[in-house]
Amino acid sequence: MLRFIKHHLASEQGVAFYGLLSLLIFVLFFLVVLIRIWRMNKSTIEELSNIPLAQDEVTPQNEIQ
Amino acid sequence: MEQLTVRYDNKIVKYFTYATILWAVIGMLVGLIAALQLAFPEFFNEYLGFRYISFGRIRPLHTNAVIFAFVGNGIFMGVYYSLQRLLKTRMWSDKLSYINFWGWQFIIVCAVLTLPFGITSSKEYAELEWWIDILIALIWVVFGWNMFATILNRKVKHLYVAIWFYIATFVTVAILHIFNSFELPVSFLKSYSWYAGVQDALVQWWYGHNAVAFFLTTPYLGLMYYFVPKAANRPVYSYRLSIIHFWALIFIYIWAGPHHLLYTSLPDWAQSLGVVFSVMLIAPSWGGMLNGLLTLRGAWDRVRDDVMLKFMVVALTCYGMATFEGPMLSLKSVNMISHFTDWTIAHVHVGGLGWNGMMTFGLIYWLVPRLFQTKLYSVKLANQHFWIATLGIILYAVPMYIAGFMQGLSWQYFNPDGTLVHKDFLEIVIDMKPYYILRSLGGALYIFGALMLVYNVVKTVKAGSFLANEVVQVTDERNHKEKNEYWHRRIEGKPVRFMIVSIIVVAIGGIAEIIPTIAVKSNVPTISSVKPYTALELEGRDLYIREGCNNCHSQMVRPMRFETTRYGDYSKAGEHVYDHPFLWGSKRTGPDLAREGGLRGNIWHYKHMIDPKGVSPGSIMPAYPWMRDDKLNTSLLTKKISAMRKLGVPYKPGYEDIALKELNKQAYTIAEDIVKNMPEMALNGVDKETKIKELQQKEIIALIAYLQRIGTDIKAKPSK
Repeated sequence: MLRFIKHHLASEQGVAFYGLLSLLIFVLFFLVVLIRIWRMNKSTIEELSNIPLAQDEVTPQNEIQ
Repeated sequence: MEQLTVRYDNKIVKYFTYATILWAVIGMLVGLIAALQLAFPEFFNEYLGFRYISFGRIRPLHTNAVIFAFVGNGIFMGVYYSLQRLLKTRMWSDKLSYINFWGWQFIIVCAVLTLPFGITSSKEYAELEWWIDILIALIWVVFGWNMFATILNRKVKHLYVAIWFYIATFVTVAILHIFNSFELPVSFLKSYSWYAGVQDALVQWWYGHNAVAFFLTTPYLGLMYYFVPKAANRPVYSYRLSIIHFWALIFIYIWAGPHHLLYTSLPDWAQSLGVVFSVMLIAPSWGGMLNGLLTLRGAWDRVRDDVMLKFMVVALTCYGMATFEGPMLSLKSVNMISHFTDWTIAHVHVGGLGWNGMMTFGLIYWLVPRLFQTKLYSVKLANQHFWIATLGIILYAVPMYIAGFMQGLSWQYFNPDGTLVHKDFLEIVIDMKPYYILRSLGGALYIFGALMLVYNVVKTVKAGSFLANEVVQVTDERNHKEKNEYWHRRIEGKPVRFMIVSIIVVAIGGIAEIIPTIAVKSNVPTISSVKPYTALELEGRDLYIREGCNNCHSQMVRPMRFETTRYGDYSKAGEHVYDHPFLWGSKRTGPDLAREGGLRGNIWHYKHMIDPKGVSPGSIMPAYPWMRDDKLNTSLLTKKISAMRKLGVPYKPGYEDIALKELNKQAYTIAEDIVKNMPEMALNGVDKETKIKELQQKEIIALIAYLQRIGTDIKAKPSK
């Protein structure tokens, strides 16, 4: 595996390809996330953002140490 | 849907809360001692010159204690509380919870018992020796295992955004810790880094930067997404933004490490990548900060009355400031001034004291009354704590910013004739005294605030009754399916898949930067005159590591006129190929040592190590008299040479067998020079030859040998 990479990275030339590819991956990934989020259902969003506020029904059998 | 009775484990939260408070006070006190040493070096040298608290040894103890002990326990405290409630289930295994707790405390105690004794790997925020590294990995896996099993056992459909941050924290810290800790043990208490020079530096700062990202930031962002809405009693400002925040942050953060190595011998392309991604990082960081602050929209009046919200608001503001400053510091032109100065110290303390500290205090004030079913003992006292802590942060950061600017600029000033204005580095160090005093005062105030919290918590605990198990009725939502499930659930609803996607996202940056640096030969052009250290120099280098000299002295001359005029030729990547570990350092409290070899005589070094102030009036360096008195321990020498050879250092075959003899020979030459040419050397009734033989065995001789070697190889003519 490493030999394969080494072979293609015999010199510094072309190493910028790595950076560009990664940047491209990020931009594409980011755009996909962005578009999907834009199209998310409003009620789902509301439901999700209220998760921490949901009150549990506390029972009287709480155990006190 | 089925109704279930669930018992949340509060006891583990209580344990971690207590540990957080205990280590906060200890970690900060150690920091204060370190700060006072810089402010009042005479006092410490005179009355408290103990080797175990000397700056180079306790600075790593301070950083480890506040990062891994204080914030680490703070993470567990918040995660164990919120995870159970967000998943509506008890932690999967109580046994694992308590192994996590006691294991983590044991690791911290191991750090306390090794670092002050000079047992260190020297890699910043990863100083602990190899077997403690293994322990950390094991306990971290216990935490992750328990967390994952709890997630799989959940009674809810959705994984709230806080939990994504917890998952990313777990996987990334595991990856960072394991890859950065590759080291070859020489003995139980000594190991050498697997990587050398440039590669070691890159891996270290990929780790170091992301320890900040994934230990000090992502878990706390997770806590913010749970506790800020909880305290404000309103949902997070934008859930959409939180999804973007999460993915963008974890993707980009991992790339930014090389900004710690700007203008060093690291290949240029890696430096540039680091800069670009650091600047991009401002977007998700501020997205997260604004998401937190805007959660309070329409509820700002509550900030006036609710002390927890006050702490949260200052924490978020500090987070915003630090994450704006970070990208700015990554710009090469700014970094040229800020790097190696106290500016960095100011920056990290805005993050540490402001973001992590204030957030943790806020959480504790919120949690303790709830765990103990009572009201906070004194809201007034908590308010006073808030103001004292805020004042402490300002009093700490402002002097350090001023000091940082002064250092960065003073190092650069030239006279019209082309000589340096402050030719003597020490002139600038002496000017720092008032700022170091003010900084200590700021730190002391902050600790005083923490002690007020201790008092408040003790009183609250005494007044309340502890709720060990909170019993609640929950609805099992797992089998309830909706028709059109939203897309993110496909990853987020499957925690294992979510973890794998997270690993891929964080791995991309690491792979793109580290593999080429290690694989591309032309990144580190070989210099034929660079040779392995001699046996004595190797031992001396290990003493340099033991005393933590790298905490105050860099070994990296940057390619700028003001640097090369002061120190000499700039550092080349090829000079460090045998440096396991690299010792470039990150701070210049004292001058750079990359070209120290041959600059001064042996006698100067001998006197300077024993009494720095006597040689350089005004110096704030600690004295190291024990190096004059203690015999050099050479029992590991053969093993050290073999280990180095295994790591690829080309010692000649059979060097192990003659190493000790060679070591003695070189030591004799140095000792002879000192005894014969230093008239004030007390012979104590013995003849010079006996004195030489006595001196050659001392630690100080090995250290001098190393100091005289640093950066000299490149000056030698290449031998073929």
